[in-house]
Amino acid sequence: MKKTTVGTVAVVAAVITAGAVAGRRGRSQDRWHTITIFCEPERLGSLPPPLGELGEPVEVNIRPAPGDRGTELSARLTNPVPAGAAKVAARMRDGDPVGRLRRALREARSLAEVGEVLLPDSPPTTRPTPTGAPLRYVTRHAREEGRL
Amino acid sequence: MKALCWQGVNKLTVEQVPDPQIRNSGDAIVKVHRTVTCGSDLHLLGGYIPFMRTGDVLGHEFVGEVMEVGPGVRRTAVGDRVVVSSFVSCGKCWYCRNELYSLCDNGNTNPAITETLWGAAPGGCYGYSHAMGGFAGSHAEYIRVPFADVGAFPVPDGVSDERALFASDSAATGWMGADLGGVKAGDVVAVWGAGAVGQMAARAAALLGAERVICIDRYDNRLAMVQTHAGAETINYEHTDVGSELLERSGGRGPDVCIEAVGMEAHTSGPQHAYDMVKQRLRLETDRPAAVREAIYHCRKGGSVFVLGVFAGLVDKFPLGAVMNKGLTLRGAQMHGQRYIPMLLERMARGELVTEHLATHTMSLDRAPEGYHLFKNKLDGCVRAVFIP
Repeated sequence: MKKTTVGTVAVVAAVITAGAVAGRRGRSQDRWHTITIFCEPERLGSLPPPLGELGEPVEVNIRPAPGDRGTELSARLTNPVPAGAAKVAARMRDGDPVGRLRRALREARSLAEVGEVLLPDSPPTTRPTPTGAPLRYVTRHAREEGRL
Repeated sequence: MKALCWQGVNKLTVEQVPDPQIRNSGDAIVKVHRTVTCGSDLHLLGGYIPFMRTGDVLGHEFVGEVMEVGPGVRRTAVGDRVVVSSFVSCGKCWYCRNELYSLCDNGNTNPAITETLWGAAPGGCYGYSHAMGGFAGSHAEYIRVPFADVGAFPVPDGVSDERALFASDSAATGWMGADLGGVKAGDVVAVWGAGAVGQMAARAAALLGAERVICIDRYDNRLAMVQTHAGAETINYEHTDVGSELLERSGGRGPDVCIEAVGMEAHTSGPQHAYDMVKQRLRLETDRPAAVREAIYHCRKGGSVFVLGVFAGLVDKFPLGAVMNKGLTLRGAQMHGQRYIPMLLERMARGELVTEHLATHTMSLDRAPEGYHLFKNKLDGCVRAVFIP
């Protein structure tokens, strides 16, 4: 039990330290972001739209998904991406490149499966209120966040 | 156009809002003939699902006429009288191709909210908050219907608007509970909740061959309806011990399939209700799961429990031990309407499935706030309030 506790503390400390270092530097290597698209791999080409329009170099991996589930599309930004406080700041000024990559992956799936990206209703029936501001921010970025 | 708008917790008003517009090639604009309240709307109204914005239009169960279609629409035509599935589904993704329409990958424009909450995003739903896509609801003169070829179904000539209306959500949800709950000939099925969805689940269980269907509620008018229209037996939980009665009616085994059609604002008699109310108010649990607890506890060994009621977050005192040790199959879902609506309309046309009795109160859209007041507080025997824009 004692050994486990010490190990846990060590791991937590390492994570915190790594986060702090990354935060100080403000940049870290992006991880792979993966989405499964219900189509044959050949249909996606080598750089499915709109991944080519990100304005950032991106590495892409395309492979068949198991069990006839379609194709797994993975992508990561090759330049270091904002981390820690820099990531929060980038999000606040709508400039998070990882968020743009997530959006592009979701849109790539919609384009391949449906042929277009579903748009929200417009004009809206809602009106802005101070208490609604956080939800407005969330919905404005709702394809850029999440667990992708 | 005129629409019923959410203005804050327990505040509804009828307002003038912009007309909906075609936004995608698969869209249709539908003139709403009839639109109905749903128990799950009360979670939005009461602030239990905190993703509403001032001015959001409520309503997700409706029937109407197609007025305009986008350039990519093939099957649906202007002038069609249609009933529309409450869930927005593309029909092309892996989930839709496997008839799990409410899990559509392309039907929710705000996937991050539910991905963060639940680990993955279901499809979108009309008038059901920005967590479910932020689509304007059907309590309005007109509504935009994305993926119209997938979600809008022509109503057969012999089926009235009054009847077809409930194929949109209530009947499809109820049928799904019985179908995916695995109801088969000879089963004893218990349904918690005799609202519209519970009544439809009971009727579906009977049509799927259940030997006995037993519906549990506390409102005698609802229990009388389910006896008359679904052929079900009833238990009023305020006057009868539910567990003893279910054992007696199932040969001491417990029901084979238990369907929960109550949701996150469950009422129950006794201290459990007070406990859940306090914990919900203190935000120590978001949902009150009394009916789910009962369904799990009373289900027979190796039986099946299906959760149809809407839940949003976390519950307390969940009987996981009973699930595991009794070898239960526990399942739930938002409704896969596109899977069931054509079949339901055929059954409605043959008179096997009647729904008009559910519309206890029909009124103009101008009176919708009053309709919700009656519906929420179950006044004047209200089961569902139907609005005519």
